[in-house]
Amino acid sequence: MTDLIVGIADIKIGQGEQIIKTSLGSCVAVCIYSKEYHAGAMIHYMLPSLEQESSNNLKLAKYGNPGILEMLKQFKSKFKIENSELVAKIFGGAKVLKNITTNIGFCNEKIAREILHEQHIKIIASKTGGEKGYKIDFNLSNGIVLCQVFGENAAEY
Amino acid sequence: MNESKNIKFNKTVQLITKMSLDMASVVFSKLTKTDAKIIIDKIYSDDISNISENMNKNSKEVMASLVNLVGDTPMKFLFMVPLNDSLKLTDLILEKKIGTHNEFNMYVESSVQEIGNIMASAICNVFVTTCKIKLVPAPPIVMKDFSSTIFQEYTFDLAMEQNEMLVVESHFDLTNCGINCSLFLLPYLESNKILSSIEGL
Repeated sequence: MTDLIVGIADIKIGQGEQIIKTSLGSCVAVCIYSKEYHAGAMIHYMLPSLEQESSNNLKLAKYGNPGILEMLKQFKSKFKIENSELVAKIFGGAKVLKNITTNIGFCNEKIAREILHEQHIKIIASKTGGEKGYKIDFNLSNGIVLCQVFGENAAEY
Repeated sequence: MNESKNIKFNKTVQLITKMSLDMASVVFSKLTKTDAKIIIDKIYSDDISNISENMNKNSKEVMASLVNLVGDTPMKFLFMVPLNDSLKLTDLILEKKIGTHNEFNMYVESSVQEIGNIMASAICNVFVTTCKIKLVPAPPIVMKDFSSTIFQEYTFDLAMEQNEMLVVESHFDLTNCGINCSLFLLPYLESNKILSSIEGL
């Protein structure tokens, strides 16, 4: 079994006996899963939306919008599947640095919910917010995500 | 879409940053009254996804001190120590027998905060004395979390603006106590350009 590690502004796609892993703070990870293919994808993005003025410095997976759409595009080019056959799980979006006034984590989570709703992808689990980091392991053989918030026991989603 | 590894850093940047980390470790040794042995000391530039992917591979529970260095060449400084080792470190700083502290209280937080502050000041002094570059440490922020999460938050504002980062990484051991610490120094892109233009060191 090979692990796929996802960094910031990164998308990974896998299938079968693979586990996709990442760690999060204010960033959000969206996991999509196809039960039919036992395949899934994860994006780890840091900001809600791509600003127009930054568009010359493209790294789509840095932003929830259009990063989540890019992940869907890459996944659907690999597996012939409709959005309605996919399910999603959302993790992260903590407010780790207390002295920062903007709650980017909350905005990151909000954009994920909006895009997945627009794309008719059902969100079947989520663990978001708080003030501590997350470690998540997305098991592609069954779609279960093992999520550990710092200082707490790991739980399955 | 990944950028190519195109941040240019020359020998001057390597020299100044190594000198500053060496100074930080000397200060650290004096502070803890132990031998701080530098194990790795590397300077590299890479895409933020690759850097954070590597951090995620070996994520540990740590206590950290994050310091913004502000002035002519803004940088970020990060000192991290594994949670259990932070207790030992507190004993060393407070000149107590190792094993005295066994809970994460204000003494542990204050010790890690102070270490960050003193080491960051040592780094700033090297920049001032060797290159006449004005650099001062902002008040440190102490965090207790996964090392990968802390690293992400620490690099957040840099990663917002650029896809590639220059990282100065140093790991060292306090040989007599089995304490393993990490130090990171991240110059902003503009700072790297200024440092690269310095001649005659």
